[in-house]
Amino acid sequence: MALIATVLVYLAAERVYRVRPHPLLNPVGLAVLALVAGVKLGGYGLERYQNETLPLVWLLKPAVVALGWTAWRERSRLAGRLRPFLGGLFAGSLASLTLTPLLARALGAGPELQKALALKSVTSAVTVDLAPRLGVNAELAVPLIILAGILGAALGPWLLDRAGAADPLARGTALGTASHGIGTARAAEEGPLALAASGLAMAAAGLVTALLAPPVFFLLGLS
Amino acid sequence: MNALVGFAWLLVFYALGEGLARVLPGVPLSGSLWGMVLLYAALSAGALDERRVEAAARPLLRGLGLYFVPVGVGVLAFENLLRAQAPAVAAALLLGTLITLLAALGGTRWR
Repeated sequence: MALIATVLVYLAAERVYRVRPHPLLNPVGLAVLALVAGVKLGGYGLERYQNETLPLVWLLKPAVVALGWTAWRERSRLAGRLRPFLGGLFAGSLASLTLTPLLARALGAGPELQKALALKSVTSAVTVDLAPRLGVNAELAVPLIILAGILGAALGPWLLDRAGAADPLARGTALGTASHGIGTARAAEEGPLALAASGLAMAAAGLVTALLAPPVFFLLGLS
Repeated sequence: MNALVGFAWLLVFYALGEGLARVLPGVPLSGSLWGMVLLYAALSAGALDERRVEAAARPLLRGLGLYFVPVGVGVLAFENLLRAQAPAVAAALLLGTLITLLAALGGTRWR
């Protein structure tokens, strides 16, 4: 029941987004909201819901592997522009991983939230995989990641305009590094080069964060 | 090309990745992330026909958002924590996202 309901709710949310493609109507966000309400009001029990939907979550494993294909395909479209891409990827990933938890700490958030927020720019697909190794709670991180994606997709193009960024490679790299898949869907509207840079950044940011998170967490006293 | 063959290839690379993760416990990569790296390397080296992978990767990634919806629903367990710290979380998310965008944009000046 829970599995079928999840698929159907997600498909309905996708249809809403297709009719009205606004970042705030992101299908993953809408589906999560609807199902949270359903599980809560329907008295279904979170544990039962999660057990029954495990097969769906398992698909993230081959899907993350498949991101290697995305990265390979988009990489060829970035020929000769690898330096600005890598510069943006590393600067953005490192800034997110260090400054977001520090900001949260300054604002009074506890260590559990600081760690979850540190992964806000990593695609949820990778986070689910990565979280247990880093002592992060995936259930806490994923909704924050979706929100960060929605914020980046909604405000990113405006901010990049204000910062005078015209280069599609720079714009795509920034959107994919900061806002993973949701940012990439937005970058797709800006053309093929922005889409390629964003898609590659999404896959690569997961990898970079996986490698940098253990030392950064140690330095921030979060490990 | 056969999507099932492609899916089998993805699982082969996932299995290889799990193996590598076990052999190299010092590198903080999971089995699927290793699988992603290995698949990228195999495609770059021309060791694997891209069309084989594409037949499965394209439909599989089409539904990527769906697979982590159940994890997102798990936020219910953290309702109280999030409610208690909502302003801090909202501010950190908003500022953190804007800073990340600007930092990434700055990084793309590397020539």
